[in-house]
Amino acid sequence: MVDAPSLGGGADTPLRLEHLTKQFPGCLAVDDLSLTVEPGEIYGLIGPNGSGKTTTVKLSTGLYRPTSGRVLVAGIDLHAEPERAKQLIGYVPDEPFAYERMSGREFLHLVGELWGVPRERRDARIGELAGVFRIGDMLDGHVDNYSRGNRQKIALIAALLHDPALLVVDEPIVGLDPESAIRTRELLRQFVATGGSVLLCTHTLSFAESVCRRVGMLRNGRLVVEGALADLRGQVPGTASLEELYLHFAAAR
Amino acid sequence: MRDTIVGGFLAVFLIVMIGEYVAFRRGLEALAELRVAGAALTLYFLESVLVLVLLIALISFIASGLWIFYRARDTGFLRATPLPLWSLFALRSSETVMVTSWALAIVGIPAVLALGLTYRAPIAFYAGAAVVLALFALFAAGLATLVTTLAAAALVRVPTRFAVGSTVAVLVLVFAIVVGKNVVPSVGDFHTIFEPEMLNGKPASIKFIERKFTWWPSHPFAASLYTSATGGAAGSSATRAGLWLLPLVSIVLAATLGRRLYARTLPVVMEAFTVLRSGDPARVAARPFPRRLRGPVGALIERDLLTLVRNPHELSRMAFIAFLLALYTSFVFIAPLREAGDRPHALARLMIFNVTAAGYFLTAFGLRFVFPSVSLEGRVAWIFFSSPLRVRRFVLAKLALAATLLTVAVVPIAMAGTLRLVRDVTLAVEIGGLLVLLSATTATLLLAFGTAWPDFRERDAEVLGTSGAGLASTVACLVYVAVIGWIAWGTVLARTSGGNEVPWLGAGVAVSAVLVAGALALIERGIRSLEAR
Repeated sequence: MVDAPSLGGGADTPLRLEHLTKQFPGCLAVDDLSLTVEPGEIYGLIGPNGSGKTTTVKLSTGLYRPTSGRVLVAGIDLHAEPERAKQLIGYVPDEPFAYERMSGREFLHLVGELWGVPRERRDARIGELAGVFRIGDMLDGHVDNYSRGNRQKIALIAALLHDPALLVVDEPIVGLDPESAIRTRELLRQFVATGGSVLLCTHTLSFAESVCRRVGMLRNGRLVVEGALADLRGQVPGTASLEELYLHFAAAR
Repeated sequence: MRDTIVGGFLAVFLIVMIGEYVAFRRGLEALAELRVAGAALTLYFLESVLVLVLLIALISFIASGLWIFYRARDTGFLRATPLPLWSLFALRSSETVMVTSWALAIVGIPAVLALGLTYRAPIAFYAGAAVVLALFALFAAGLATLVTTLAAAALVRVPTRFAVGSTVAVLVLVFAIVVGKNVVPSVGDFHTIFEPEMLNGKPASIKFIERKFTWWPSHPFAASLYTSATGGAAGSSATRAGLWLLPLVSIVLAATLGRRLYARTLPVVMEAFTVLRSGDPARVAARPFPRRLRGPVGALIERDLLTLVRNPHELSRMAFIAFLLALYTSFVFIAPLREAGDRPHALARLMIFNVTAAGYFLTAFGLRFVFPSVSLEGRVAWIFFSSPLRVRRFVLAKLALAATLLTVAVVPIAMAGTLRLVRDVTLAVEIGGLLVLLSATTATLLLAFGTAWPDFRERDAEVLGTSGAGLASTVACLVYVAVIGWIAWGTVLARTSGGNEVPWLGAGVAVSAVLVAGALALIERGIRSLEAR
């Protein structure tokens, strides 16, 4: 249902950020950040507000241009060959804005057209994914009438429509009802089980804990700690949850 | 920065008003020299100006008002506060008046100043004229509020886009027909106006004009201004009573009937947009997209057109500019332009008017629909920035679409005006070439400024148009329009007096080419630095 395509022969790490820096006027948002997302992995990016998570996500999807450093998607430099690299990425933004005077179905077809998904395939995928999120009866209403949760579902479907190899997801369950949040979790697990990879940025630590193999914590644009959850717990005896780990590292640095 | 932008806009408006004042003053002085016919033509001028200001104010108010009164984003918030509905109604009326009363200031004030100075009116005239204009503004606001609430109450069950679109379309059509038939002077009107006959101590020409404009509610205001500036008699005692009664009645009706209609309609409109039912008009047929165009760029262009058609606010703006275009078209087809064709200097001046009017419409359409088109990708820009689409292809497709639409909308009407003025086929073709250049260059300039300085956070095209980049592009386009108008003037004079018009045309091509090249470079620079902020 959410099979991820192969990255192709010779492809290495699905996502590699190399010494990435993003300087806005008067603000260093991301500072010499390097990390990798391995095949079949959900990598969680956590951190306080203003730590650079969303900027990192936007750099990783080509929405921002890096001041320095590189973003490699399956070995392809995102800013040197954006069309090739973006073909492999599915992106769910933190604010799931969609064209308000279009229906959800029209919007999804537009997204499919942008990624070159043939019409028959689009029809099938839209029907299939709308069934997963139980949004089929809303699809022909204008998006401006959708609740935030339904917009989030549309954004998730849009990201999966072209069978990406890498999902970059910014706050995927904000606004979703509990059932949809559970379905999203299962969807992400299934996606990586079939070879896909995910860079997940979230404040919902319980969600990150339930799906991520590794997490990285950002602070002031720098990666302050990174590793598998079990290893991190090992570093801080007495901590059981990601929430406790987060509070520990947030206080320690 | 904000102060600079506001100052810049005030300067632009001031320059436009000074230009209008100079044109009105020269025209009125030329009319004053015609004595009896001149007095009648002065009254005709005042009647026409106030009719146009009234209609522009009405269309503009209703087009914006249907949105501001019922769909403004803060309505939900304000309804949740203890603010009485009466206050909300007053607030919405004031907001709409503020954004739609520009026509009175921009056209009315220069006209009154030119009138007073031409007839050397005493200072008291200006005080009286200010009162008349204020009463006129009150009348227009009351009437427009009433029509807005009536239209909303009548169309409360239909989608807003249809309500706004159909109301404005009906008004535009009716006004264009009435103005074409009743306001634009025909050859027959001119013959009557130039009749020296007197009827009951009043020139027949004045009586003719009074009869012609009797049923226009702007007539009492025009007659009052005419009488106080020239000392001539116009209007009756009923007309003088109308000067005070019309504003009073319109405000009372707006405050009573309009308010009640608003109180009844607003909750229905608000509920219609928070509850989506099966079969609701806000649903569309379940069909794939795009339907007409293919490929990523085709899909985005079809989306532009589809969302434009479904946006009542944009549609009403477009209808308003189309209304001005329809008025201009009426003038082109009804006014006796052929008679001017025999006099080279008159022909050249009319050609400036023709070309600069086309330039104004191109700039107005472009500022509203071309300049903001990249910024209006807005918070949804994440879609195409994260997609494998080449942004350059997308922007160039927008340019091709904009240039084509602007040319199709404006150039044929300006060409019709040219053909009414000019009998020389070569000259008509040359002016046609200048018009196409004008259209393509204006579209390129506006898109270039919009691409080089986008604002993805702003969702309102009007606010974008009044940004620093909007101001810069407006100034650039208006200066360019003036240059092409001057080149058209030189071309006509050179051609009709047996001279060589090629250097004039060459200058037009060279100026346009330099601007297009600069604009394309700006677009290229903009594309390289675009980020979905």
